Amino acid sequence: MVKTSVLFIGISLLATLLVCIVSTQIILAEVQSFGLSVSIPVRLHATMTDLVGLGPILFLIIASGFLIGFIIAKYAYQFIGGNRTAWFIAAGCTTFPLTMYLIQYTMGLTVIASARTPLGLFLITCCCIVSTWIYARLTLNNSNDNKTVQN
Amino acid sequence: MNNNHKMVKRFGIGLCLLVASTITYAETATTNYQVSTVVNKLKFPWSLAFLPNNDMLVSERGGSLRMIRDGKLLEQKITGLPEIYVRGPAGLFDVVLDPNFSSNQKLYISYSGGSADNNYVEVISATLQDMALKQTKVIFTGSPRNTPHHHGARMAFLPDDTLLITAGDGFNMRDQAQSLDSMLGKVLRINTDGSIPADNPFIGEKGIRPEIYTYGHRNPQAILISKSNKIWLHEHGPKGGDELNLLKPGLNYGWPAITHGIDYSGAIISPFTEAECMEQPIKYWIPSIAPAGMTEYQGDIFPQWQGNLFIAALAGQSVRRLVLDGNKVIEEEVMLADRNQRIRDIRTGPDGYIYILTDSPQGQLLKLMPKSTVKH
Repeated sequence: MVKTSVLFIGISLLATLLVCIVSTQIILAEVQSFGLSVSIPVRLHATMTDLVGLGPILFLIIASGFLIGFIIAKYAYQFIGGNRTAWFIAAGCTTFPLTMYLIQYTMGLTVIASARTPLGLFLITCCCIVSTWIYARLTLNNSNDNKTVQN
Repeated sequence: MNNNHKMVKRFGIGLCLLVASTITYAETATTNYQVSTVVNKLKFPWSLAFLPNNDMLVSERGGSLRMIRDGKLLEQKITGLPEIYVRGPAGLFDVVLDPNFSSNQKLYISYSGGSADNNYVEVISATLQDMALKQTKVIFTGSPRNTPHHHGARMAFLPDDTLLITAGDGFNMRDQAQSLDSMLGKVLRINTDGSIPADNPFIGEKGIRPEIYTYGHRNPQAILISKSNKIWLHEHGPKGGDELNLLKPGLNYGWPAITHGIDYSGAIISPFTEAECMEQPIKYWIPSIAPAGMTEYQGDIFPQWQGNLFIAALAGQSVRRLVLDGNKVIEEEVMLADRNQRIRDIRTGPDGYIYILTDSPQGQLLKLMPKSTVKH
């Protein structure tokens, strides 16, 4: 349980890190599209600033989405079966877009600017998929142990 | 010992004098104006217009146009408004009289039209006959958006009787503010019949909307033409970075390529606060005050405030009085902060008093007057 919790927090942090870095690059690409050039020091500074400024809210969004998604993935695998990793990847694939959709539906806006375009949302979702895949791999032994105990 | 005693005594007297003079100054400073309530029970009032017969028109965001006559809010509402998309900050917005209203009874009303997935700023012209709008005609329809946020939708007449309309960036579509084929995040200029003035800055340029007057705006919630024909505009920034701008046709005011604010999520919007060919604000606010209406005082009641800009602040819950020296803000006074009310609009009445709309479901029309004229 403790190991799973630590892994969950670790994987949420990893997803946050990846999404935050990608997110900054999407925003900087938008700024470049206005005809402004972004140097490497400016890019690095912007990325670091976002890790501090955007990171906390991203972590909340991602971790709460993953929490629900992982619980569903776990029980879906348990009761429906199939490929366990695929269930977790499905969770990674859906939680962030669903959270954005819910925020848009209730507040009428997409709070994470980089997720406002299909390409941006796709890239962020890829980050979540990578993270959930790693989580699924790292928790594979736990899952097998549980199954053995149940048998 | 004796010397010490004298010094303490002198210090004490000095301190007393300092406190007394501070209190006297504060008394003077706070007693040169006073607020009275003209009307209560306005539901999220948004804009105010003064009719030549001393009546006042007040738009309510929920989609009602109200009349104030002899200091009383009439129960009966103005009829004839078009269908309005009302959600969150979207709804009925500005009401502006035609420069020749006395002879033609014409007025202009901005509102959000459409639906949740496809809404836009729309402006109608109409004539006001008793308590009804007649001869209604849509003269402007803005670019579509999918959010109820950032409509802008303030209007002002230029001296040549063309109409300036502010259009917000639609929140989710902020990049459109830099795109000249979109009307989002722009100030637009049209004739009162809806046609495009032949001397608009981008007229005839391929791929550019001919209505565009200036661009690079976020959510401009006030625009006015000063006595000296300067065009003042202020706009909501994100988290920080509300701006007061001085408009000139064809110029780029930077949003979102340059900004002094950050996103609500804490993310950067741009690493730049300035860039070539992009205008700097005359003043910006960090943290945000969420500026709404604005008036340039040109009345006779407060001679000491001649030419000052008064800005309504929603999040700032106050009125900001800006003293200008040319195009520079040299002093800012925070007024009415003790009332803790979101202020939506502020206007100078034809009688020289300053009128203020508060933003709430129990909105008020307030009147700012010198203390000596308050009747008890």
